[in-house]
Amino acid sequence: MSLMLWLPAMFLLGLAGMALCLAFLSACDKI
Amino acid sequence: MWLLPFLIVITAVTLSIPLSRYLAWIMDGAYRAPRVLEWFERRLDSGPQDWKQYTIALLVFNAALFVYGFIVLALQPVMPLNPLGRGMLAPTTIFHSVISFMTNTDIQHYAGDQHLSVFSQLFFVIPNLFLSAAVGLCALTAIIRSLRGEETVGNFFVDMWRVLIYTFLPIVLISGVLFLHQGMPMTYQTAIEVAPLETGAMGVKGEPKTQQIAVGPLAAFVPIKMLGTNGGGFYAMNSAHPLENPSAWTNFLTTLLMMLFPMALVLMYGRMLGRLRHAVVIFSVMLTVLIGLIGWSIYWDTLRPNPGLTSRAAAEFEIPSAKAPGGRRILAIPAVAGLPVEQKLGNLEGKELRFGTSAGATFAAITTTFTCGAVNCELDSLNPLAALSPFVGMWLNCIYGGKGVGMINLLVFLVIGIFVTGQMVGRSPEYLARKVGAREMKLAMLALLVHPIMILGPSGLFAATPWGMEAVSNPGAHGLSQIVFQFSSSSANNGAAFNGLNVTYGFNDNPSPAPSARQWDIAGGLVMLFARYIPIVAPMALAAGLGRKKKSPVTTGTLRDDTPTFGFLLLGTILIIGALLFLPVAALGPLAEHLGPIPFGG
Repeated sequence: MSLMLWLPAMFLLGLAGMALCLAFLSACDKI
Repeated sequence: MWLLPFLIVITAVTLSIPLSRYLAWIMDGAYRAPRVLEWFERRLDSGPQDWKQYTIALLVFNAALFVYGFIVLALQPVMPLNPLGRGMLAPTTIFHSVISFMTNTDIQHYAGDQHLSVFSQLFFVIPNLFLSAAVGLCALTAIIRSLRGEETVGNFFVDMWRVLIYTFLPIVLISGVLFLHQGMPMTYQTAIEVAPLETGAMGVKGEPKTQQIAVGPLAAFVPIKMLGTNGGGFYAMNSAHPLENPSAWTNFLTTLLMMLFPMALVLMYGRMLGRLRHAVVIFSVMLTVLIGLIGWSIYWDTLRPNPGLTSRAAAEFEIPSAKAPGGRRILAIPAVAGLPVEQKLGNLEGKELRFGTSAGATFAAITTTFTCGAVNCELDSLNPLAALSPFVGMWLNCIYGGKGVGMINLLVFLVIGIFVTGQMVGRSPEYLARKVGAREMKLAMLALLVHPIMILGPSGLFAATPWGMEAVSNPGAHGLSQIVFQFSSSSANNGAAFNGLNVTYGFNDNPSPAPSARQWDIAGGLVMLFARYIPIVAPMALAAGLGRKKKSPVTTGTLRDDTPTFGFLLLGTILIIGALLFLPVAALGPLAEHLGPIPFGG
């Protein structure tokens, strides 16, 4: 597995997941 | 056989009563802290937060945990306390492991004693065991304050401090000392070299050879692993390893530790709301299901033989025979021909008999119901119907459950049950004297449905593609069970696994990783992430909205929530919704395996 590609990709995927949870929080407030 | 589960349940219930009083006292801030601790608490207190600010603080804190964990694991090869030279884990395994520990799941796609350095165990695993466990408890506390009608729900960082310092730390210290007394290692050494008792037994050609046994700070690790319902083992064998669970006493104490907080939190919910009788009804419903699951597990595993080792035929063929009437006879092929296996003590495959014959089945039911995930027997080796017990515990995910989140999940079932009942009797549904409206139902359904979607969606995808087929170690129904178990455990933030599944990539330079390890790492990581935070965020919003509503006067037509009738209503709601969501997959997995041909059923 190429570290140059996969390491930042996995790091960003985790942060994107947390960002989606924050977006879900905003959506819940609007329901 | 029945004495062990009886003693464990009775002791846990008894201890949860005073603990719930203590927890309510701490989380309500009624204590007076020593001056040094008060100084730290004041530094952390950034002021009261409303539910949204509290939830944002919770999510940002967890994002910071992700960044921290990722950096620690990515730098493992260059960090100190790594005398055995543990290398770089595969990036997808780092992603999976970091999310696993930050979400309190602790499912491991690696072997702790083979892939992590002591530095990683000390600075990645152990902090996460404390912090991730505290997050769920804080979320429940904020929800209780919302339901009390408070505009602000406290301060997330102060609540974390209270949980960690005043609740976890004292219990962990006391149980750590008890574990040390029972022979659990506590050392910064990474391995000790020993000579086997039988000289020459370890060498390939009979030559004398020493053996390396991995050790570490286990007495610090195990108490919070169990108390925090984390479950991830220091050793790959988890609580079946003689150093991670040295005696029958440590087995009893570890089982007790994982039950204490989830049980006490149900009663804390009632105490903080001033509705203890309501909490006792909820507690009784949970206890009924728990006893049923333990009993089911023991009945089908400890009291039944392993069907794979019975003398009944694995396959039958019709062959020509001159002597037989009609010229043909049936040739039966035994499952395991001529193997002298004594099965009076039930299914002993994968069991650690140091703890007693029923200890494995008891632990299996409790560890999945309380979403701990530690194991002291091989879950993959449970008889098919016995395996239904761990499955059901994870699928319902609200029978005590993890710290805080189990009670939060039950709140969702409560709201749905009350709404459905209100519709049936033609009254507007109310919970805690506040009307349950469309907004509450939308949020409850979001929180409820994310769990089955996160289990059934990926399970279907992996079962239908080579990603799943390459990973399972058994064909047919058991293979499907292995896939479903993995995603059930991930979604319930449990951490237990059917270990036959081949999902390990290990070190990045591993020449022969599991074929679909990357897919399993990524899918598992995302499932754990969304199944952790969505069912926290939606109920937080639900409770805030409900708490803001005006209280309705109690009339003779009000549905009372502190009666046995309400208990039956709640029990029915949980069982019916659970069956509707998961019965089909149970039929295709454990039930089909039980009813199917030997050696896997029959």
